Amino acid sequence: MTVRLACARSAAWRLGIALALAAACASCRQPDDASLTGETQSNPAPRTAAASDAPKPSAAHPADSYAAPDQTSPPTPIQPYFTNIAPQAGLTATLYCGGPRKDHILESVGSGAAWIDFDEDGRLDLYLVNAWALDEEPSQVRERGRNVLYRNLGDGKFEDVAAQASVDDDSWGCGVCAGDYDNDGHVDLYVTNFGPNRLYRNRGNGTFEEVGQAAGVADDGWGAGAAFFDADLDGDLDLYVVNYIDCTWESVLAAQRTHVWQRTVKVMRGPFGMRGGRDRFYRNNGQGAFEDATEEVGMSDVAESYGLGVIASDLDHDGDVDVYVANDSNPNFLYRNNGDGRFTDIGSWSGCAVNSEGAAQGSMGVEAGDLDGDGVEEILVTNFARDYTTLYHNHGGLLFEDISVRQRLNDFTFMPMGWGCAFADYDLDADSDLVLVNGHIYPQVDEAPQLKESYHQAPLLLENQKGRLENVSQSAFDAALRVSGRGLAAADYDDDGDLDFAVTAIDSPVLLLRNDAPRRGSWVKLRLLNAQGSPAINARVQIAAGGVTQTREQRSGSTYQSQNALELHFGLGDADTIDTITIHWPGGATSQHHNLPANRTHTFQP
Amino acid sequence: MKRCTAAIVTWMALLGPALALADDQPKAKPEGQKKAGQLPTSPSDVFAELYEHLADSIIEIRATEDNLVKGLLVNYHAAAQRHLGQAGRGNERVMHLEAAATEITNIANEGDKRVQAVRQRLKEAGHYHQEDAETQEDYMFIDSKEKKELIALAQKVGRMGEDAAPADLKAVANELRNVFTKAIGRE
Repeated sequence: MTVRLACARSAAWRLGIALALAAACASCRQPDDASLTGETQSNPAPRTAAASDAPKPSAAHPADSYAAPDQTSPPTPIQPYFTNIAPQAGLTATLYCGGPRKDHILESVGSGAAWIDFDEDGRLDLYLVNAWALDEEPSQVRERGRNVLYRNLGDGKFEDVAAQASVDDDSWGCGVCAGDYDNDGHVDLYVTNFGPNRLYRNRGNGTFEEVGQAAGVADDGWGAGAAFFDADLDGDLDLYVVNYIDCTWESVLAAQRTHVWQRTVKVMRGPFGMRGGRDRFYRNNGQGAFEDATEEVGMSDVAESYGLGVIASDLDHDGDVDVYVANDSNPNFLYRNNGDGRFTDIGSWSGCAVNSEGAAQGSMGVEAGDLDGDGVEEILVTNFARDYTTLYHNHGGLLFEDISVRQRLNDFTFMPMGWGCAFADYDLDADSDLVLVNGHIYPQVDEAPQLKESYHQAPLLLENQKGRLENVSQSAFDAALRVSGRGLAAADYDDDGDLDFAVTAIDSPVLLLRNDAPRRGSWVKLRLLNAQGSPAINARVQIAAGGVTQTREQRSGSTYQSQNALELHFGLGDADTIDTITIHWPGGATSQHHNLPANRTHTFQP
Repeated sequence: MKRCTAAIVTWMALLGPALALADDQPKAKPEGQKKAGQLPTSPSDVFAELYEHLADSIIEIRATEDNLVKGLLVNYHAAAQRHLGQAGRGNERVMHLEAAATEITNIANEGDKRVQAVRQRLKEAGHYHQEDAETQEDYMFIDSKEKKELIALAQKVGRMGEDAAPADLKAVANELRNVFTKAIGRE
């Protein structure tokens, strides 16, 4: 598939790349290699100078007033609250996505965010993908947004260092994922675009080198989600890239709103009626480059299924990584890894391609997590408006069942349009809750109150209450917190022990939702590193503490066009010691660690 | 875009001479005086005539599509039964069961992935959502109830595994035949 772009745009890109490659960040700190060499480090270097092994109480942070629950009386009702502190933190760059009318579907998909510690100073930094602003009449480019890299200064503030780090690309950006593809110990970034994608090789000195073309992964389609994973267990990370629609830049500028939504307002066309993009699988040759092995490994996307989201996860725990693709308005794919680096799409009969009614949904984001504590991950898929977010229960052996209605997701999520999603224990009570980002794609719905829809929508927080989801969104988010949300990336950016969320939104600055919720327990974070010292992608952990066993997997990509922090966060309830941590490393090795203290970060290597 | 442009050029090529011809003709005669083979007498006549021919073509194409889809379904069904039979004989049972499951879902979806790629281009613009009746009425032979039955059957077949009993295999083959015959026979 080829996105055929105007020559002028290509020329501008070249200029942008030249500018982006101009500077380097001399002030970036080197990694603390000494902290990464041990088999097990129960007391690693903190991410920030202020951070220590235990969370510090703060007057501004009611969560830190946690005390062990009184076993004799029912727990006090919790009023969770997330505060958008992006403006105070300096996260002010607007993320563009076309013109105000959204005449073309390209202007609907937004762009993602990634939490990575690019300069290895122990703090999580935030990378934001940006697109362009368009004028309507005449339809033309008003401004080419540049990607932003916000360096975490550790004092609650961030500064944009994208230009110095050479990652301030001005392509029409979409998604991002992270992983150390060249095994040099530094986390690299892959950015999908409408047009050639970028691979930013982390030089290890706080700067990046764009090597997409040279590495063979400058896929020139309309890229959406992407994920690094080791498909063939050869020790290096391969790459799956989802492509959405095959169309031209000229068609974007010429688009007219001719589709009628709910017989009421004229809106953009698509995706039906358009030719879908074809996803790609790139196999890492171990020499710093990739080859397109899509056909060879059995991932030919002949359905051209309008893909948007992807997770790469060992969903059947057989030691190799499977791939699930969320397709807009078409059946989703579940590629079973056959163990030899080849894949078979078994989605159609595995129970997770369509909903319980047999209907393909307009899927956008996807995540996997163990909601019911049975040790295997459910699949969560966010969908279009007037349809529900789907939760597929994992029966094991790659067999799934749509349990959305049982979990009342049809009630909670029917009207909003879902995008980014996360399994996250926001209140530290030793289970996984759900965070969902919403936002319509048709601004015109605001002109028709009878539709009872809104372009700007609030996020959802669904709390896991002993296996049953409850909608606690009203107390979680300020009523004014309504955006046309898209990406979601989870991280404990402030190292206070609870998970915070970056939310990207159309034509808006990013939201940084600081978790100020009262806490129901202690916590632990695990940094799982490979032999080179970079995050071990698809390492899976079972943690037993306080009589509860929880499972998490460290993944590249997932959610919606975004990247969560490459570390695993657990709430522990009232446990102050972790009885056992069992780590299943990529490649098959397993390690166990016992009696580790809570409320700190532990780092492990195989 | 190129295909679209080509179609427009074709229609303009057809319309241009026809309109020019119409302009050269005397003014419209009273209704009933037009004889067979007589040329249209005004642009409105030309358009009506063209639409008549287009409608004939559309109806023919629809009939062709019906037959094509029916052929696809028969092919998928035969393939599914063949795989179930081979699974019954025990050779590479799981592989054949999974292949049968895939063929059954092809029936459920009225097409495999390649057909889906074609069909989605013909659909009404928009996204799928639950209130989208036009999208749900996409299928020609398989209704939503049959689709659900077939998907459930595919899941059952895909999960039968190495130890599937011959009687169970025969039962699913019969169940598939019944659903399929009902769907095709109704049309």
